[in-house]
Amino acid sequence: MSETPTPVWDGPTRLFHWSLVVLVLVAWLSAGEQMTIHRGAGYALVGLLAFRLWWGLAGGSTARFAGFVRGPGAIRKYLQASREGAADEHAGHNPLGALSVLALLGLVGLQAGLGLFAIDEDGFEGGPLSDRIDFDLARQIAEWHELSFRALQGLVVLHLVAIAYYAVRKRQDLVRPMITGVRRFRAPVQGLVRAPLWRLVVGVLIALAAGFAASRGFRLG
Amino acid sequence: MIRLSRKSLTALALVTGLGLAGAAVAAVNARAVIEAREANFKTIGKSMKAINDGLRADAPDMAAIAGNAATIRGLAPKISTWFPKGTGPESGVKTEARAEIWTDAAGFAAAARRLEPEAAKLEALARAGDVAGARAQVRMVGGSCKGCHDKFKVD
Repeated sequence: MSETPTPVWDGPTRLFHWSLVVLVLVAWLSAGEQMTIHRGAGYALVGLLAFRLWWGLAGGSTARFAGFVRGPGAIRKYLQASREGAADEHAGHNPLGALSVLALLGLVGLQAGLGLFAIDEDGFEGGPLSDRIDFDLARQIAEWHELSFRALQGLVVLHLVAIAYYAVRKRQDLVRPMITGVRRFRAPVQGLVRAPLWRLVVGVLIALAAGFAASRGFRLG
Repeated sequence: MIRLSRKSLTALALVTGLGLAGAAVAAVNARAVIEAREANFKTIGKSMKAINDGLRADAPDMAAIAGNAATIRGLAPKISTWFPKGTGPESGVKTEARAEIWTDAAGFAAAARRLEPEAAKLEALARAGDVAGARAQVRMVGGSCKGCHDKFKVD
C-alpha cells in the first residue's frame, strides 16, 4: 500500500457535502423552535442544491451525474464483482453509491420544497408560499414535511452504516477523502479532472440567486 | 359453586349492561368534545393564517384582519371550557391534549388566558389601521399560542 495519493473530490464538492451536513443539522435542531433560523437554513439548502445540480452538469469529473449515475445492469454487475472482491477501484461514486446520492439530493429537495408551503398548527409560522394555499392544505403539507424528514433521517443512517461497513469490512476510509479530497489506490486510476474556476463562479451565483428566490417564495415582484 | 337466583342474574346483567352503556356514552361524549375543540382550534389557526397572509401585503386589508382577530378574541376565553375531565389521553380517543391540562389545571388556565388580551390588542390595532403595530402584535398572539402548546399539547 504505497501508492501516490490521487485526487478524487474537488473542493466545491467537498464544501457542498459538509455544508449539506451542517445545514440539515441546523434545520433539524431549529425546527418548531427557531423558525427564522429554520427558514434560513431551508433557503440556504435550496441554494446549495441548485449549486449541486449545476456542479453535476459542469463541475469536476467525479461530481458529474453523467459520470457516476448508472443503470440497474451496471449496479448488479458492481454488486456481483464486489461480492467476489473483484470490483474495480475508481475515483468517484460507485454505481450503488450513486443511488444514495440521488436519493439524498432528491429527498433534501422534496423536504425544502414542502417546507415552502408548510404552516404550523397555530397558523403562525409558515413557509414563504404558505399564503398561496389554505390552512388545511398547508397543514397537510406540514405533515408530509415531517414524514419526508423521517425518510431523510433513514437515508442518512443508511449512509453512515455504509461508511462504517466500508471502513470495517473493506478497510476503506471514505470520510478522509471527503475532507482532504485525495485517496490512495492500490493500482493507478484515472483521478479527478477539475473544472475551470469560472464554472465555480457561475455555480455560486446560481446558488445565491436560487436561495434568494426561495426566500421570496419565488415571487420577484 | 355459587348458585345465583334468576333475579340476581338479571340484576347483574342489567348492571353490567348499564356500566358498558355508560362507558360507551362517555367514549362517544369524549369523542364529540375532542372533535368540537379541534374544530375550534382550527378556526383559530385559520384566522391566524388569514391575519398573517393579509399582513404580508403592502397595503393590508385591515378590516378583514380586525375581523379575524375578533374571531380569535371571541373564542379565546372559552378555551379552558373545551377540556372537561375525561377528554384527555385516558379517554382512549386520539387527542393531542396532554394530561398536564388536568394535573396542572391552574397553569393551563393561566396559559390559555393569555390569548384573549393579545387578540384584543391586535383587533384594536387593526381597527385603528396601524399596520406596523399589527405586524408586531401578531407575534404576541402567535407567542401565546405557542406558549400554551409547548406545555400542554403533544407535538
